[in-house]
Amino acid sequence: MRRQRLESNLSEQCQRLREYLSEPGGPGVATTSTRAQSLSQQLTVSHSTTPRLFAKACEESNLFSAMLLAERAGRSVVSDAVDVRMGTANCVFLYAAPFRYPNTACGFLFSPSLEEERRDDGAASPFDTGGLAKHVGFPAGYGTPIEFLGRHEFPLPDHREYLQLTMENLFSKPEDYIEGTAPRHAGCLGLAGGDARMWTHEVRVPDRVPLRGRHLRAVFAHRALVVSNQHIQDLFLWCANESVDRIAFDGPGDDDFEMLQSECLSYLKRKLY
Amino acid sequence: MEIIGYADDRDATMLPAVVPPVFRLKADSDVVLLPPYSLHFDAVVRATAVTMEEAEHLRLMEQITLFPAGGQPAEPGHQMWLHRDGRRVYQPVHEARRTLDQLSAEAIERAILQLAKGQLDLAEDSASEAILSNDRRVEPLAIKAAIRRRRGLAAEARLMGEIARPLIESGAFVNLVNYYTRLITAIEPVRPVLKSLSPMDAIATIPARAARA
Repeated sequence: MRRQRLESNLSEQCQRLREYLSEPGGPGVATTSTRAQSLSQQLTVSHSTTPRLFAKACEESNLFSAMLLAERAGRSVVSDAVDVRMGTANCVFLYAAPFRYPNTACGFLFSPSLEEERRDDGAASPFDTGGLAKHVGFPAGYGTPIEFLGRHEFPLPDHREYLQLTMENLFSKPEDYIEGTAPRHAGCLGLAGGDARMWTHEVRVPDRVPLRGRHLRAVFAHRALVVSNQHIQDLFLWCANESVDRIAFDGPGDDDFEMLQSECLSYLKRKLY
Repeated sequence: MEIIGYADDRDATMLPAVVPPVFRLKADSDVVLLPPYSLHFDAVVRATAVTMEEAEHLRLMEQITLFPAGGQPAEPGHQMWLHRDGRRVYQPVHEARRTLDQLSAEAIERAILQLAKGQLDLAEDSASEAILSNDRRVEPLAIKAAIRRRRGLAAEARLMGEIARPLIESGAFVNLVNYYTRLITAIEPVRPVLKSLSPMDAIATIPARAARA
């Protein structure tokens, strides 16, 4: 039933996007691009966090949702937190994109096969739901952010069909989505006032995402963290044994706090372009 | 602009560390700037702007740290870093770099002394502090590799070599690891065997061997 609703949303929104593109004076529907198809299908799913939570995830071999983290710590989730209000506090948040904000020290990349495995209980939306609740305006026809989300929640991994459509039609070139360059055309979601959060695909997986499994593709961390923290080091060792990529990079320079993002982008360019 | 926190959260074993400030516009206190970004004198480039409410949410999610006592003025050419004891320091970049490098050098000296005394756990901690203070130094990596080699952890020792690769040619790194390994071995050549001896045997043998070394 739930899956059907998500599939119906996807089909409706793909149709709406095609209509928007075909409107008189509109950008027009581009012919299917093998580049956009390949990038949208192969793009990894990312999760970045703080050094403390990263080390904890390495120790526990799992990424946990805010709800499970609170339960395990013997406390309740903050009741007015965005994800509680949006009904997503039971989810681990990932992005079908490189690491974005606000973390700069460490992160995990997962293969798209993670989405295939979580097709029955996961979901995606073509925007950041956290931004929707606070920063990004949604069309007046929807009463609440939750109502808007309910109509724009897509199944895993099929949301990549919508991603492909946007990559080939809204962006100047498909790579712009990955590189964080804003689209040339706004699209028809009716969102306003945001930044990359308006068009970055968010992937939500209930409860937990195991780290030591077949979906982990790459691990990124400041060199000093890998060397000084035993849990992070243990994960790097596991990755070495399992042929999972390990990227230990320089800590921040004098004025550069973009290293995690740029390391991730370089990695994706090597793997996908 | 003022600084109202930093986009990081770490425990004491992950300090010292340079951290990216969370900025807030003085002209509009509801505009908060988050990394990734780069700083160019007094400009913050390619930051993500969020509202104060969103910043507060990120604090609750333990993704950023906000100062409980409010903001402090942002200064061009300054850097924020956290001391090993958690103390926050905000100073000109060149001073921060010099202080951190000094801390790193002191921690390396300490680690070498501890290695020579066979205090391997303490030497590990000192080497961690050294690399956290300056991650371009290779000595802490070599010290850690030597300790792991001494403990029979070959894969962990190899990992140190892998991490050191962008910083030093592999032959030079191996030489450095050999040097530190000899330093440990010179002082406590047969430490695992000592466990089976009586405490008096140990007391009798360690100084004699150390003296010969």
